[in-house]
Amino acid sequence: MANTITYNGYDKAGFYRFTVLDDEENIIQVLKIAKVKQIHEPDANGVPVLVNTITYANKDEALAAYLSAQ
Amino acid sequence: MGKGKVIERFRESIIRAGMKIALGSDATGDVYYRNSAGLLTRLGIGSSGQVLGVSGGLPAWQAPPSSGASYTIVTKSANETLASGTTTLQDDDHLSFAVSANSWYEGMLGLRLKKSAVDASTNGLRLLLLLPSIELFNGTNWSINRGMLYTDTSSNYEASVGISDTSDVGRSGLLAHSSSTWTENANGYPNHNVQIPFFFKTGGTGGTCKLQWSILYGYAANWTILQNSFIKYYKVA
Repeated sequence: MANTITYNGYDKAGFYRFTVLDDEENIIQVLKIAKVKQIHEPDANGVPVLVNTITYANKDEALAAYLSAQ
Repeated sequence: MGKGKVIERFRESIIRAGMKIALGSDATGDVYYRNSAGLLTRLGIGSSGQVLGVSGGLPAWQAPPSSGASYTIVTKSANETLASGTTTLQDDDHLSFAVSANSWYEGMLGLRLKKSAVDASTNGLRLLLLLPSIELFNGTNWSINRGMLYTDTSSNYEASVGISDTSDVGRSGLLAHSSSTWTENANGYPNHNVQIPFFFKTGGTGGTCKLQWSILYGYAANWTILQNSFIKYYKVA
C-alpha cells in the first residue's frame, strides 16, 4: 500500500501542514508548504534574485504544486 | 583428645564446610569489618548501584561519584520537510527544550539532512535558536555560534546557528551546501550530517528554546531535517 498524506490544518505561521503516513499509519514525515512561496533565480553573477511570489489559494493547490514537482 | 587436636579438627571443619558468621540479622550480601573496639561488625548490603566508600572512618555504601556533566537529548521523532520556496523561519516540530531565566546552557545541534533536488550553490538553510530572553552580548540580543565543519563526498562547509530572542532571518545562522542532491543510502543514512555547538545565557525570562529553520532562497529543492536529528544540551549554571 502506498503512503497516504493527511491534511493537518493551516497554522498561524502561514503553513499548510500535512502528515505522511506509512501503511501501518506511522508518521514518517511532517510536510509544511508555505501559503506564500518565493521563487529565486541566480543572476549573471550567481546572486539570487527574487523573481516571483506565489500565493496558493488553498491547501489542495499547494499540495498539487508540491507533488507535481516530485 | 588433646586441646591441640580439637583446634586442628575445628580448623579442618572450617576449610571443608566454610565458616558461618551470625552476628544477628545477617543477610545475603552483607559485609563485615572491624569496628573501633576491634569487634567484627556487620554492614548490611547496600542498594543496587551503590559503591563502597568511607564515611567517618568506617566503610559505608554510597552513591557513585558523578561522571561529569549530564546532557539531555531531545530527538526528532519524524522527518520534517519544508517545500521549496519556504523562506520564512518556522518552528521545528520536535526540537525544543525548556530553559530557565538567567542561566547558561551549552550543547550541540546534530542534524541529518536531505534535499530533493539540485539547487543553486548559493542556497542553504537558515538556523536559529529562538530563546524567551537572552543576556545581551555587547549590547545586542543575538549572536552567531559557528559550527563544526561537515563533509560531503567532495568538500567541507561551514555551518552556524543564530541565537536570539527575536525570530529574524537576519540573525539566523547559515548552513551552506553543495549543489548536489542530498540523499540517503538504502539504510536511511544520509550523506550530510551536521554538528553545530552552541552556548548562551538566557535573560530574565525562562520558557522554551526552539529551533527555527527555513530555506535560504526559493530554488527547486524541498529540504528535510530527518528523524533522529537531535539537540543535546546541558545547563552549565
